[in-house]
Amino acid sequence: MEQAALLQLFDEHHKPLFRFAYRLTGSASDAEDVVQECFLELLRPGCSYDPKRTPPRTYLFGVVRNQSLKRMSRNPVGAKAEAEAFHFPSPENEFLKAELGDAVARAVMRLPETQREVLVLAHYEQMALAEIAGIVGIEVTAAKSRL
Amino acid sequence: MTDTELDEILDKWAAPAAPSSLRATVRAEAGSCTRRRVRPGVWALASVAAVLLVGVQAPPQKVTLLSPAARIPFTVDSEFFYSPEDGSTAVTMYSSSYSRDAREIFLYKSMPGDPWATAMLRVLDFGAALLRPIQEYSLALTVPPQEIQRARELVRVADCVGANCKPLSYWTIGSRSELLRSGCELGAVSGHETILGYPTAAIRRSIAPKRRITVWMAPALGCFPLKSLVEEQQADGTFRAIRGRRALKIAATRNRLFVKVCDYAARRVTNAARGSFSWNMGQRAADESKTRQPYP
Repeated sequence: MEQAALLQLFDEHHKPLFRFAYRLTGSASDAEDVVQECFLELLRPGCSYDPKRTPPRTYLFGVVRNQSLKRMSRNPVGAKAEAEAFHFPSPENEFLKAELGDAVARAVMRLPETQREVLVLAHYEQMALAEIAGIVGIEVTAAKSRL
Repeated sequence: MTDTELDEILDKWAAPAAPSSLRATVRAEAGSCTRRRVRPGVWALASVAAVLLVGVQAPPQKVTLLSPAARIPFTVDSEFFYSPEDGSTAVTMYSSSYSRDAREIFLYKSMPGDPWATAMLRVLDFGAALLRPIQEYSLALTVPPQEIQRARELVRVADCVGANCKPLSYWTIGSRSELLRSGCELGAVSGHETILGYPTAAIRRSIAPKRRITVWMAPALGCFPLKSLVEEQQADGTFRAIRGRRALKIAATRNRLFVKVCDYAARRVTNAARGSFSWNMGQRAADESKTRQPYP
């Protein structure tokens, strides 16, 4: 893949990918690394991506999912993630909102990975069940049951 | 709790925006990845080119080391020349070659004033030197031994036909075994000459109507042709040299980096031997002092 095409793909998809990675790993720096690795994966000589078979969005989300899971298996979400991800320095008038956000984040992060990834894709990225099933690699019915 | 209420609660968790530096990082990394990615074919070509580049610069000894089957006892640097009718002489090719069983093998050739042709010839000659053992092995598998023997029995002398000397022509002058047995004096000998310190015998053959070749071969060098002359008969019956070759330098080559002493294992130095050695040296010094005469 040429560099110009890669940057075009990046511009189109990097924001939802970053959000997805962030919500899976619980860390902004990890999410940044994951998204970067995801796009560089397309330049790898042995890259198996075939645009005719898989839409780029589905492929990229799949790569981000795999990279995030790999990273999480190496560094399980713990004190670092909680300190980094769920602390929102906010003005006083937004204190309550931020506190609620932290609580939701903690709750979502406590979900099993299989459920969390489906929830994040369905709710936060507004994806259809078929697309979620394609990214996660499960049947549509299985994706629905995890919601 | 309704779905709407649940959605509202979930929406409280906002993800931070992707850092603006991410695009620049991906762009930089993509650039270096693209630069780093070199196809395997390019690597293979580069490797072959590197080997050939080293090979064409390598002296004959190195070729010997790379290809042990091609033992090179000596090398002869020669020049091939061309004599037009105006009487001038122009060198058409320089070469370095050696002889094995009265068969001349070229290590490299160079064309004066034609660096491109020289480079190509050197690459081809180097490749041929490396592949010679394989070539001989495959020949033995595909051609009947009698045919190979018959072909090897013929002694052929290289001749540089034409001004550009491409390709080399060869003239058959006789049987190899008979030539070596006769001390290079096969048939009528037209003369003897010492060339670069090596005695040679000159034999003459007709190669075409009104054309003949005379070859001076050195018995000490396995009947290597140190000199040859192709002459053309003129209208008055005399012969005029039209082209030929002459040796410029003869060099012996070392085929081994290390020479093993045959009885190395038996030469263990014991204390007794050391004592004997010391005694011998002392005795020799004493003897020399007795016999040595003072300098005048």
